[in-house]
Amino acid sequence: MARQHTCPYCYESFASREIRFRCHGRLSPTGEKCELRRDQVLDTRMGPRRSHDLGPDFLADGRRPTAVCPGCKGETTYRICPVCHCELPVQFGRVDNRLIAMVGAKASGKTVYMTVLLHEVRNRVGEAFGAALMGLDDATMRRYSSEYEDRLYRDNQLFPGTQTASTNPNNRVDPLVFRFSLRRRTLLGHRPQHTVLSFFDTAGEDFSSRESVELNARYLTGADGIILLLDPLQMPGARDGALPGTPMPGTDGFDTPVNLLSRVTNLLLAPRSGRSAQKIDVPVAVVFSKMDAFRHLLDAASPLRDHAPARDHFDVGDSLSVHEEVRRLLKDWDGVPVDQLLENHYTRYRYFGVSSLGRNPTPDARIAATGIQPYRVADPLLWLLSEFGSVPKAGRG
Amino acid sequence: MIAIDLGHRFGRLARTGPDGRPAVTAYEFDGVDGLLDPARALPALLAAAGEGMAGEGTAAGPDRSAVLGLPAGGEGEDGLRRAAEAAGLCVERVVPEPVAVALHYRAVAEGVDRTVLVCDQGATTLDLTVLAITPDLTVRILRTRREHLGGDDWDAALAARLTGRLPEGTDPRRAAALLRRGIGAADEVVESLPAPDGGRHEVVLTRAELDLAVAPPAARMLAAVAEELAAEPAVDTVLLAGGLCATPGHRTGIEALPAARHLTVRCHQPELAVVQGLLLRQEFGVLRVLTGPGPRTSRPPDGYFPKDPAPRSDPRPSSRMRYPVPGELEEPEDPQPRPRPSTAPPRRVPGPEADGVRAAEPMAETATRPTPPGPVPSPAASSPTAPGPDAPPVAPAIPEPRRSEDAPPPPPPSPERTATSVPSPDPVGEPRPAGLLAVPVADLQADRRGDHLLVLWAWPDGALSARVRWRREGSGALDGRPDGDLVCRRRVYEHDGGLDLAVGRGAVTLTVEALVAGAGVDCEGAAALIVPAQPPLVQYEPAVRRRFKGRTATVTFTAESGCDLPDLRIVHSLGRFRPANAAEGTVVHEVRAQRLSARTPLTVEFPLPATRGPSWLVCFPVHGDAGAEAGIDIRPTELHRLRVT
Repeated sequence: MARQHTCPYCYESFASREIRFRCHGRLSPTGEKCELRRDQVLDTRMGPRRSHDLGPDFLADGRRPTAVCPGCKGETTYRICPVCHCELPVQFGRVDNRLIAMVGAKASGKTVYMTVLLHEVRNRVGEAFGAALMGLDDATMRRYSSEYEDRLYRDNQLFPGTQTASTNPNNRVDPLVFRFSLRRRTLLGHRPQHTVLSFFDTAGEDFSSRESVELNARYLTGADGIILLLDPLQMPGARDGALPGTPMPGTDGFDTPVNLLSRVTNLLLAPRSGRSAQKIDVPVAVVFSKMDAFRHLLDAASPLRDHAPARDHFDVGDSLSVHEEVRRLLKDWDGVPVDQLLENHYTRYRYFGVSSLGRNPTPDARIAATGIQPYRVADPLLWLLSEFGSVPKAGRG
Repeated sequence: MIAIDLGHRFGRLARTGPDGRPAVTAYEFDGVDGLLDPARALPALLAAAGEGMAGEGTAAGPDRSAVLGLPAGGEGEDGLRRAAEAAGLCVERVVPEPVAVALHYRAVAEGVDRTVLVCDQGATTLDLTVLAITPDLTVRILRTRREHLGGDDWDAALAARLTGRLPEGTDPRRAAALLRRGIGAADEVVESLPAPDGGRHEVVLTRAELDLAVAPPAARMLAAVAEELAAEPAVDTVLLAGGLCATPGHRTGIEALPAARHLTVRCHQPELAVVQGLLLRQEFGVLRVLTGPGPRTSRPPDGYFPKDPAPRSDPRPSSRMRYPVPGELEEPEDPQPRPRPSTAPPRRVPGPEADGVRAAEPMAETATRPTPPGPVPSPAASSPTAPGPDAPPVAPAIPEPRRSEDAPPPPPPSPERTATSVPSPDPVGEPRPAGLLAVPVADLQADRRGDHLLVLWAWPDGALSARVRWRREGSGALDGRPDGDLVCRRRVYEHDGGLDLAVGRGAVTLTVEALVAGAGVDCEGAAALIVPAQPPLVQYEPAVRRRFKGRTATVTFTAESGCDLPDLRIVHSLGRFRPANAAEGTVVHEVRAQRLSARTPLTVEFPLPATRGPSWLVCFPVHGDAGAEAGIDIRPTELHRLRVT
């Protein structure tokens, strides 16, 4: 059976030879030129845009990096997804392709977390690991800069609630697609290793019922790893212990973390009918956000008081310590059902405690005056990447 | 803790009374010079204090630790220490008297950057000392000067004036002293002196007569003060100390000096300023006393750096330094000397204070600047009410001096004043651009992250960089770099989420000032923060081995520095959740309280019951929070290793 790949934009799977090509639309060596035409598939999937006036697509051997356009006889390197017609990343199929879905309840801080996470991976964590993160398409570069990073880091403003996918045509969710590059030491010396990362930022409302989960979060089933963001402030047992002055999420339209986890688990279990004895083997990083609100309750010895060690590998021991500490906190927060559910349904899961901003935002939804002090935000991604073998790790577990 | 201020003629002893206020005992030595012969003077003072502080048994009371005052010149420290130890006291600190005066007036505080003149006039001498107080809680004795001009000269002048008006056989100086102390703030005093015929002879002294009589020595005093005020660096505040400064008119005379216009002259219980300042020292925490001209005593008006950094040929503080400052004759021991524009090597100045006195640094240049408008406190409003100028106020309890917050707002700056400015040492590898002014940052915070410190602050508008200085305090400062100085770019701060400093677990003093481009901002001081030390760390690691007779557990304790381990319980708990207290498991072993040597592992071994499923081994102090009370931090090497099965 041919190896299946998953499109980082639509999360549909296909074989390499099914990959289509698109003519570049320029003058070919033979002096011919293909007319640009509106790609109806793209319009259907992504909504009508002028940027969808492109060269014609055609079928060729998708296992090859180039193909000759049957119309103009020009050679093209544009490979597109056979399902959504989005242009696939360079070297797609020849580098690791990992799709990471981010799931979280409403107001759990997914967008802020994703923005800070990518910023950290680009800067501080990237420096420690010798890693680079680059946007793989124009839309990702533009959207990440203008809609996410600038707003948070330059304008010091938080985000309004993310628009639910059900309001978009065809329940579309545009992912941010990056290439994570790392220098790995091999027998032949240092070699670059690339991993394509696709991040979906979904609205919390998309997980408020099973129907909406199935409708809007179909990508979950195709994800290689899941970051499940849970807000401890939405746990009744934790709210009372939060730092005084912490903005509390409302109760209308909010769901408890265990309910969210149950729906996601049901979605992941659905295609596994007939194998009920097996646990879900997709690694799940269970991330508790806004931990700065609970810092005052932590023991001096708590690993959640320290930053992750700044090394060029993922520290398994530190991660396990955090895992056990968060599990202990879960007990205090009446979160034992969450732990039981994970233990009984998932093969690989790990708890994390993060704070994207490090401080409470101001009442007018702005960053605190001291700036953004992200805290352990990269740990979940690094754990997932270490599970994929994309980053080195030290220690067992 | 008791504070002891020995003068030539008078001695004062203070301790915190039962009501929390300082209780001061003053004693006039009889035939003994307190400074020249402390071995005889100190026991006399302690004996007097024993009488003065009834109910405490001995002079020193149950607490025999003492902080001693030392003249700014630094002479006689060894003799003073020996005398105190011979009297059964445990000398904790020896603090220069001008520094104690600064503490008395709350002139030393975090973020304060000022230069003060301490005018200490007692029975025999006038000591004028210029102190530079920097935001990092450092007091630098820039120069000191001593004039033999004290209450005795006042009395001599008055005695000459009273010639012919005193009964025969009367000691004119003693009578003059009596009258001078008796008049206080009144316009007139009538003293009854013994006459030769056995009767009483009344002598009347008016304020006008007194002022006229003491005008010559007063003029000499004012001339000396004016000379100091006119010298560089510019002084922001004058602090008065000593019994004679309690004389009405003393303060107003100084305030009337042309050189003192727009200056703050503070005079509040000046006769107690030294001893109460010494008593305050114990509450003060981190304080560093240096001697000699500092790296920067004031800031130029048009930028953070002086434009002309040409060093002065004479690195000595001042030619008016009549008395050598402590330790001038010794060689430097700076562990990390920095290159400076100096013509002479830095000198190590052994301090009169145990907190450490650093090397004197050569003066580098002069520049003009307006007097900083910083938080210069105003004189306390209350006038001295002591019985006499240099007379010992025998008071069982003296109220605490008013805090600077109570003082009226500071006077406006005087733009015509000049000051000496010495460039501070450049941060490592960071040539700072000219034309930048330093302004304090807001919301300065520091979070401990193990051995690191995450420093956070709110950037002022327009600031693109900030200067961060830190100093490790205490014994921990001996390991590694004791201090640091860098410029942090705002971009880097924002990208890294704050400034990360590897400073170890000891106490750290931080100062941060943002560098803002542009002229017209004239703001003094930096935001400062003291981060307390972390307690010694004791780490433990459990391990389980299978043996023939069953499972055996070992727990190994290791400390980086020697400490006392409290009684501990090792608790075995079943389940996936780590126990949070001893009640959530079974106590399987108890570790007795004992001394733990540095880096010497202590291993305990005990049988572990057979279990199924996950189980934990966790240590808890027997007595609640005994670890914290014992001043140690007990934690596992790695938390997940507590899960032993």
